[in-house]
Amino acid sequence: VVVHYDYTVLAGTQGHRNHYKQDRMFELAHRFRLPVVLFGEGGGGRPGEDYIGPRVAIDTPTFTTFSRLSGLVPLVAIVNGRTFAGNTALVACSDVIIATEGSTLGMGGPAMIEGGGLGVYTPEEVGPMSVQVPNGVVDILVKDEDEAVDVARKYLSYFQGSLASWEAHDQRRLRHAVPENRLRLYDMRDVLEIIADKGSVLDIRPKFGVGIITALIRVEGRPMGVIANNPHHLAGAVDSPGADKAARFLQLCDAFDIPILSLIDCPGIMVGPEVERTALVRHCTRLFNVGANITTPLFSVVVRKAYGLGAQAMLGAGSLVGFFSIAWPTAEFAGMNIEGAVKLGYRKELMAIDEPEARREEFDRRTAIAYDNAKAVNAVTGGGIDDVIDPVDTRRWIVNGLRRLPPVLPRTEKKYPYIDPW
Amino acid sequence: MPITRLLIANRGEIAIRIGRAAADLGLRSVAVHSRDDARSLHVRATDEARGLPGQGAAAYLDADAVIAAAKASGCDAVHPGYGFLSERADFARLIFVGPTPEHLELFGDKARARTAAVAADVPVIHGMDRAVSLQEAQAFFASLRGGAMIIKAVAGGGGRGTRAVFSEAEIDPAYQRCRSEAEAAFGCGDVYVEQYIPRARHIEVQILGDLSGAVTHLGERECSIQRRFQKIIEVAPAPALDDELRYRIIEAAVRFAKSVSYTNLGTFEFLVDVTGQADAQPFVFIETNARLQVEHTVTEEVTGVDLVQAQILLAQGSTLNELGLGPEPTLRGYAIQARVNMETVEADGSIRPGGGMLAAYEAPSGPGVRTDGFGYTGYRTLGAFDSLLAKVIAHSPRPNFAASVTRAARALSEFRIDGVDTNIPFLHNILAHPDFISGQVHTRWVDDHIAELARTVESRQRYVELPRAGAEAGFAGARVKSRDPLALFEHDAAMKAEQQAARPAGDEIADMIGPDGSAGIASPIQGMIVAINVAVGNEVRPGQQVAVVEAMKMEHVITAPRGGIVRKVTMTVGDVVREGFPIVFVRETGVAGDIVEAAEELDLDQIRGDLRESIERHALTLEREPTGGGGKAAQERIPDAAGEHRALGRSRLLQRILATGCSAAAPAPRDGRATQEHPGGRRRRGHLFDQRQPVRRDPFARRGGAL
Repeated sequence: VVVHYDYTVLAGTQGHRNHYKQDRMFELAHRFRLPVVLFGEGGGGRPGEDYIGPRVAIDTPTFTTFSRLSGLVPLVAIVNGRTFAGNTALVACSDVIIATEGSTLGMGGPAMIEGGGLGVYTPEEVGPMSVQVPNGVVDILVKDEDEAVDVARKYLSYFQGSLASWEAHDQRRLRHAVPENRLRLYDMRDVLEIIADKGSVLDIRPKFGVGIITALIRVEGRPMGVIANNPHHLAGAVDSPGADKAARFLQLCDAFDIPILSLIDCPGIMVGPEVERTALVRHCTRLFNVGANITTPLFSVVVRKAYGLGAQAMLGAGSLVGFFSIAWPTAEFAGMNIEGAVKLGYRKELMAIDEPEARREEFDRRTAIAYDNAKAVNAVTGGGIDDVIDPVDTRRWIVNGLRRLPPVLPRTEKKYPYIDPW
Repeated sequence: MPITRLLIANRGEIAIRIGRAAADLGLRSVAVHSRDDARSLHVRATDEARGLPGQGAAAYLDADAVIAAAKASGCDAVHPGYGFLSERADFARLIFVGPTPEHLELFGDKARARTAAVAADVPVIHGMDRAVSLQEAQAFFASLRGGAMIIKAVAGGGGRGTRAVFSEAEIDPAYQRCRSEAEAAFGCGDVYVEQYIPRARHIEVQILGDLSGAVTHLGERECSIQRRFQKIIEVAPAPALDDELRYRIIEAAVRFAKSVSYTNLGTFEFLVDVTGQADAQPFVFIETNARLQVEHTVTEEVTGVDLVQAQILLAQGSTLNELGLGPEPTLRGYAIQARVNMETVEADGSIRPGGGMLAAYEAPSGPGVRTDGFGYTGYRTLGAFDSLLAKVIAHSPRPNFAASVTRAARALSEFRIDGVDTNIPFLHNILAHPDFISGQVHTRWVDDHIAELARTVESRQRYVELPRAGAEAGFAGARVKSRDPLALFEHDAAMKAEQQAARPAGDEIADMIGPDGSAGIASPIQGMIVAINVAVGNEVRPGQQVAVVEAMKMEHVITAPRGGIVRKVTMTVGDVVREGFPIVFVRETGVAGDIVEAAEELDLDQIRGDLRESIERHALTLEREPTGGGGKAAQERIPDAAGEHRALGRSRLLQRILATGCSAAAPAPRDGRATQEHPGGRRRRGHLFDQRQPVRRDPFARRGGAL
């Protein structure tokens, strides 16, 4: 189903007739389980329409019929131009928002702002993409409407099933994707790109919550969702925006039974007074409640660090949640950052040494032992991770996992009551 | 010729100083500022301010733009202050508050100035005032007959490209080193040579002259407290100087000034030899600064003459007589000026530039205390300019020098500056030193005593300081000894004892323009600096690694986006830098080479050490041992049933690890626990159905299959 506001007619505002037409379309989408693509550009409710008698103006059924589609069928919104108020409400209740560069998107437009005595602004000052992309409102920013349509098609394809033909990258590159020097950075998107079928990666909200990458990919033609730590941001630590982004993405995939791949390089949940101010406590733990309750299979691959609660958050709350949880030889495992653990664990022993350099030497010695114990080939012998694999076999593990899973039975009810807009 | 409106072609404290003098004379004045300097306090010290095109020092050095601003604002006179355009003869246009262009040219040329001094019968330091070859330098050294020589960069300043030489053998390496330093720092490798006096006091005479040819003096100052040729503390008059020698120096300066009919204000600088060699000249002329000087304040305090007002009046044509200036000044007591710079002196004597937002700026006051500065709370300092923030001047009318030293130290201890690190602790250490109090110092005294002077000494702070987190200076969190693993707990204990107070929230835009318009290279992340790979004067190529910042145990390599010369390094290894704060400033130049090639060809078939170790560990679990019943081992049977095989059992390996530690665990055979094939592990081949059940089998070859 495609629903398209027409900006050339009264600036795409919402009148009785277009609500009526939309309600008809949304009801059909509901009855026949049809995905919806909504071109949302427009100014919201239309004041000054022909008088139709007394009314309260808050009884429009469109918002109800549309929101009831959430979680039932994929909902894609496209924004191109000025989109405010009622139009924005429908856009924002969709699963994904694709917007063009020049767009402006907001709950209240200039007239509402001025009416509230809050000053005079141009529409472009209210919700430009420089604001709405990094803050996570817009999922995918595109150049123009043609690209928006292409991205919408690509997005919907992951909800349509497997492809028969695909091409794989040379998997040997994975052996070199993570540097042997454990302190040196690399690009997690490279890892993701190599594992996925060629041309199959669709990055969702790449500019928001940048600490966790969320993307849709295919492996041997089969759709999957990916969450992956981005070591360039806080070394891969989980922060509030990253957790929000990943938690919503996990729910979206789970609602439509799309299996999930988690690529882990996580030194923990971010710490410090600055991040606690962001209500980190409640944001990051969304990953636990979501991860522990999803029923779509989770495949976890630890590519480097897997420390503490942050790694658990990426593992769906723990390493035993995944259908498999495997590690590369570059992986290392610990309950918290290793230096910190040594300081806490051997505080008395260190305090007993008065001479500062000797104290430092003892600390360095204990830290070295802790690092050796944390190394994948050593740590994993204690269980909790299914195997340490040659990175070259990662894709093979994923494909074999997908093959061995029973097919998902057709659903007669929604799996999730709705997809949370945040 | 009366001045109607004065343009002040300078910034910072000296522009404010001149603005005050003009206002006190009832003269309207106009300030100028570069684009990035519009928030400097000097902009408000005048009746009007004009923006200059461009940023940083370059804007103030643009003579045409400054003159254009003067004309546009109706100014008929210009005061250049010190530095910038103050000694450029071609800038002496309109009514120039300073000497004539001829004087600027004469004293701007070392050779001509020296010749003029000799003509006036003033003893000079020997030297060759032009770029010299190695052979010429060696010949000059020989002519000194046992004396020392100094090699200096022609384009120099700030001590770079400068080396003292004491023996024949040192000349060649020192010469080459100076050339390369000068080349790197100034883009010109030319050096000249001069006689070097190892132990000398810097004594300078304040001269005034009017347009009628009359010349007088306002006594001398001593500026021997220098760090690498930069003056730090100045005193008037020179303490513990023989009166006979004092008289002879002043007399020489006045004679010299008269011989050239010097006008307006100038400083004639001399070195007094205290090396103790019998045949040495007692004092020699080194140069004339044909302008107002930073340290003019101490002369003002002991003579009671406002030198800037005097400059303006002399430029208008007033005579010395009209100004009430006779042949000899009346001096009262001693005055000391301490330069408060935005920098800290490290224990090894190196200087670390500071900067940031001033969270507090409260200058000292009280009898005999004067502060010429330009700070204010909320001001964000600019690295593009000089590090001088304020000058604290203490004057005591008492005839003993020690009284003024005590007053200076008291004044400094009242100076509250938060948010920006300064050299105040270093100044305290100098003021407290017995050599300083007794006047037993020379120009190398600070360098000789640097370790002693740079050490941290607790002193009474005579102001209330609220606790701050230090973020304004670019440091994240508290600064603790990061080498100490327990610093975390010690800091925690210390902070718990203190009351937390809100710190002011400033805008966090770091100053990205450094000296000479150099561009800052910032850390992309908050973290600890683990390496700084360049030093001031180094040349860097585009893409070259300049520093490594470690954040959360990950190393971020910071590279130079463009090639050039390193002009400033703001932090040292071990510091924790804020995100976006510049660590290194590089002045872009055209001489840099190619982009550093980072990527090397990847061998896709290469098995790295970490993977090899994993393969070897897996091989251990596949070792075959004799079976009990003659059947197949689990490791062999599972592939029969499920296709390829993947072994996970490692209990025996684990026992070895528990007993001996991970590193010793390598040669362990597989254990007797059930081996299982993970469904994700390997693809099953050649079967009728897509098998999805994990296969489990007890290996009877181990312990009779007991679990």
